[in-house]
Order: sequence, then structure tokens, then C-alpha cells
Amino acid sequence: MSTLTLRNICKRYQNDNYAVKDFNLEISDQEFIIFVGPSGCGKSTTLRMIAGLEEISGGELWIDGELSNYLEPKERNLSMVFQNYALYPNMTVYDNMAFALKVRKMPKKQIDEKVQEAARILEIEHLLERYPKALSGGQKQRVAIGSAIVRNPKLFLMDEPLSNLDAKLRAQMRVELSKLHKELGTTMIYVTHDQTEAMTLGTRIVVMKAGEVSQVDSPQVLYQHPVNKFVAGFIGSPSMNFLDVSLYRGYDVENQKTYLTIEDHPVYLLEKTARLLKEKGYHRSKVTFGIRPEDIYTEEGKEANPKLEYSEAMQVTIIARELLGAEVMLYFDLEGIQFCARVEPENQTRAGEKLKVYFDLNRIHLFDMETEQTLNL
Amino acid sequence: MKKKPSLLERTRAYGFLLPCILIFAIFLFYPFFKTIFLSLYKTNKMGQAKLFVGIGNYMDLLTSSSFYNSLKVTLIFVVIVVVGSMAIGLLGAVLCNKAFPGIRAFSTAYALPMAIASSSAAMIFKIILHPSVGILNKLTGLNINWVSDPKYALVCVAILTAWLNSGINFLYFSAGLGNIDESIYERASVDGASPIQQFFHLTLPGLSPIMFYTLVVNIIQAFQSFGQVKILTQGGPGESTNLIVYSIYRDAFFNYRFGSAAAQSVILFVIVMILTLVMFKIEKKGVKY
Repeated sequence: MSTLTLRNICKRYQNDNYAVKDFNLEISDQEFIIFVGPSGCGKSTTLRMIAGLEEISGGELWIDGELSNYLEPKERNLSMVFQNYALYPNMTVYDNMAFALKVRKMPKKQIDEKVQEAARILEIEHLLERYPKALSGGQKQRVAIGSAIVRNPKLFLMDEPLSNLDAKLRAQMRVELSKLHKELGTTMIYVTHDQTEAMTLGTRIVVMKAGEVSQVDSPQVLYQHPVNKFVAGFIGSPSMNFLDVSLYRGYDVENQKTYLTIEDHPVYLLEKTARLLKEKGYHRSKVTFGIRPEDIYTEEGKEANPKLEYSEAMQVTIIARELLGAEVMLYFDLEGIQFCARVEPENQTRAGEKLKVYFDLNRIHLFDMETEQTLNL
Repeated sequence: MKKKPSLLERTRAYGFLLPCILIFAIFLFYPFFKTIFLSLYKTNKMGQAKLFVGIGNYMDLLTSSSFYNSLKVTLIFVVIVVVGSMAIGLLGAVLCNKAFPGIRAFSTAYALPMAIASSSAAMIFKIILHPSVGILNKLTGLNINWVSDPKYALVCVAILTAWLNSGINFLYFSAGLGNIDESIYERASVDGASPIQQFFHLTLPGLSPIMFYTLVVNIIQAFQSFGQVKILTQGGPGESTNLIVYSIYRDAFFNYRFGSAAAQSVILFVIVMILTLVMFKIEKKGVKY
């Protein structure tokens, strides 16, 4: 059982520079929490404050109901996996894994059992006698994780553990980490800048920007209902298309709909979207329009999904086409901004050709231009 | 197939080596062989070989109690100096491995002995250790004639030498510590290791490659200490600080027994050589990575 509460955690350097500001989070048992964000957003700093490697400048850290701001790292009973693995170069793999237990004066026999067990889980039994310098990146990674799990800690902290591995190995380790989490059932906090890792591993994702938490939610909610433009753009690959547009409201009675214009084409919003905007006082103003690549449809795509609600057809000129195997990316310009659409692989449109595209009206995102907050949420 | 270099190419290669070979020949090879040659002769006052005695000089030495005393004193001296200078250097390096205000001043202070000539340091110590006006006796309230008491003289010279040699050790160890990955300490502290456990499990093994090199250099350097003995004790009182190098100097330039001095030099060479070879043998087992 382990829970973690971060209350208004701050990391402040001289001249009131905040690396992390007012970080609030409740983590319950067995969660797999991901801290994600661009470089320098404070995600690693937060993790290191939880580990006790960085001093907490303000706020409270509660581990299992115990105020832990001033506990030494070893008293917090956590384990951490570092980005560069931090293996002890002068010890064999076995000793590396046994070190944390040895310094805790655990009996030799018990140590041996635990190390063998961890080695078995991670399939590194044949490496136990080797020194770290004789290991490949993936093997080092396993040893680092093995060293962390032998202790049965309350909490696992992982600081970009996969970022030094090549793409294939990373995908493989990602699956194994997910499996490991299910097997061990330990609470994990995982820092990454890779949103694929974030989306696939996390039960909840904390998106950070410039030291502040933007949104905490499950991967699905985060993807479909981002609270602001930053989260919308950061999560998802290729990222969401954005365009600054004007909102209008039709004058004639028959067509009293709210719409926005893209290259002078009206895009009529759904009734519920219009109502939300009206409630928030946005009409006849400029907003940022956002749509994900997979929510842009071609004629064929539209016919294949007849239940969705689409915008009027919009004629675009394709400027580039990427075939990724299972899907095709089409690029086109709208008002000088490059848009990307993910369409079915059968689509044969070439660069320079014209194409009609449709937006899924239920998947349109609208953001305030100043605050970048989502308006239709 | 590797082609044999032409005569011209070979001549050119040796041409490039010539300045180096010349300097080595004049200042290293010639004196070295001359010493071995002299050690087989009795000499006149000008140091010219006059009478061939074969291993006679060596036989004389091996039956002389004074020479055995020299060896014993040198051995004690080397142990104190090597242990002392490595300990001071290591302590300084570990202390200065953290960033804090004024770190540069401290680092400079620890490295400074490297830049002090042994004779000038000896002069300073002579004043510090002076029985009536020396600051050591004044501060401690003791009344010991440090360099004139056979009990303390050797230790005093050894500690001075240890301090003098510690400067370069400090530099070596600082460089060695800089090579240890900072994150393994972070992992160790999360793993639950105390600072002392971290020092013995991570820092010392991390320094082991450089530690070995430092040890070899220190032993050789300690065997060759001369200036501080010359200034501070002149081998006395009695023969209590008559280190081999000083004994060589005394035999050659006071007693004009160049043959005996040469024989001692050869023995010193053999001892240092054997020690170094033994250590290189051990290194292969001791240094793990």
C-alpha cells in the first residue's frame, strides 16, 4: 500500500525563479503516473524532489500519510531508475543489484534469493557475473530496473529510463515495463518527454509546462479533451492542426448558426458547441481552431463513417503525401498554415492534386487566443 | 604485405628521434652505465676509476651496519611518506569535490606543495620546528627538540615530505574523482548507502586505476627524497635520517668514495625496479575495471 500526496510543491532558485510551481497531485496505490512535458518543464526536478535528491523549496510531500519533506532519500524507501542507468562500474551485475540490500544489512541468503528472482523476471540471469561495461544499452537498462525492484520499494521513480535506447528496443522495453507494473503492482512515477510512452504506459498523465501542471488525466481524456492548446498540441503525433479563425453568427432566422470561416468557407458549429461558446461570451471574436489529423476526412472516409457529423466540403490542394504503411498523411495549406490529415491508405491523391476534405464537427477544439484555454469543454 | 621501409625513410625516422636520443644518452644512459661501471671500481678523489674490485664494493655494503641502517630508515621513511601523502591528497580531493564558495582558494592551497621547492619548504619547517622559537613548540606547549632528537627527526622529515608530495596527489585524485559519474552517488543515496559506505564502495574503487599509478609514482618519489634531509637534518642525529640517497651523496661528495656510492645507487635502482614490477603484476589482479 503506498500513496503519495504532493501539495503545492515548489522548487525555487535564486531571484524567485521557479523550476516547479504549485505542483498538486494525489497518487493512489498501484497507479502508473507519467510526468510528461518538453525539456525544462520541471518534470525531472519534481521527481528528484520526491526522491529526496533535490530540496523542496515550498509545499508538502506526504508519503503514506507521513510528511516527508525532510526525510533523507534512503528513509523514503523508494527506488529510482536513472536516465543513464547509473550502474556502479566497479561491481558485477549481481553486486549492482544486491547493493541496496547489502547496505541494509540483509542476510546473504535472502539477498541471493531476491537477486535471482529479479534476474529471472528481467531475464538477465546469464549476465550476473558481468561488469556493466560489458553490457549493451538494453541489458544495462534491465540491470538498472532489476536493482530497483529487488528492494520491493513503496514507489518506483523512473527518470526517462528508455531515452538512451534505440527505437526498436524502446518499444520492446515499453511493453515489458507495462507488464512489470502489472506483475509487481507497485506505484510508479515515470518521467518522459516521449508522448508515446506517456500514452501507452500511464494510468494517469501529468502534462507539465514551464514548471506548472497543465492537466492531469487518463490518456484517453487527455487526448480527447485537452484543457488548453499546449496539451492539445503536445499530446498526439502528428500533433493537432491549429489555425486562428473568426467566429460569426448568422443573421437570417433560418440559418442562425454560429460559424467560423476558413479561407472564406463557413464551418458551421454544432448546436452544443455554439451554446458553450455563447455561455462563455465568445461570439464574433477571434479564437484558435484545432483539429487532429485523424479527424479530417476525405469523401471516402466520410462515406465509411456515415454517423459522424461533418462540416461542409472544403477544397484543398495537397502539397505532400507520406505513406506510412497502414495510413497516409496528406499535407495541405489553409490560410498559409500547414495542415496534416491522416487518411486511409487506399487514398491515391498525389501532391499538387485537389481534394475535398471534411472536419468531424464533434472533434473540433476551440481555444481562447490569449489564455489558450479550451472553450468547448 | 607490409613493405619494408626504404633506407631513406628509416634514416629520416631516426633523424626525428635524434634530439631525444641525444638528450637521453647524455643525461640518462651515460650516467646510468657509468654508475654501474664505477660501482665495480675503487676511485680516486676526482671520481676516476682506479682499481677494479669486481663486486667488492657490494660486498662491503652488504656487511656494513650503516648501510643496513640506511635501508631500514629509508623503508620506514617511504612507508610514512607514501601513506601520508596519499592520505592528505585523497582527503583534500574528496573535500574539494563539492562546489562551495571559495573552492578555488582551497584547491589551490591543497595543490600548492607541488610548487614549493623541497629545500625552501625544509627551511620553513626548520623554523617551525625550532626548539626555542618554533611555532610548533609554542602552540603545543611542548619542549621537544624535533629535528635533533633521534626519536622524532625521521618522522619530522617524513611528514614534511608527505606534505610536499601531497600536492600532486591532490591533483591526480581530483582528476580521478571528476571521472566518477555523479549519478551513481544519487542512486546510492536512494539505495540507502550512507556517505561512508558510498566512499568505500564507490569512491575508492572508482579511484583504483589512478590510485595505483599514484602509488607507483609516490614510492619512487619517496625513495629519491634528498633536499629536505640535506637542509633539515643532514642525515643526523647519528644516522637516524640517513636515507639511501643522502648516504650516496655523503659517500660520494664528503668521503670521496664514489665506488661505494655508485654501488648504493645500483642497489637503490634494483629495489625500486623490483617494487615497480611487482606492483604492475599485482595491478592486473587488483584494478577491476
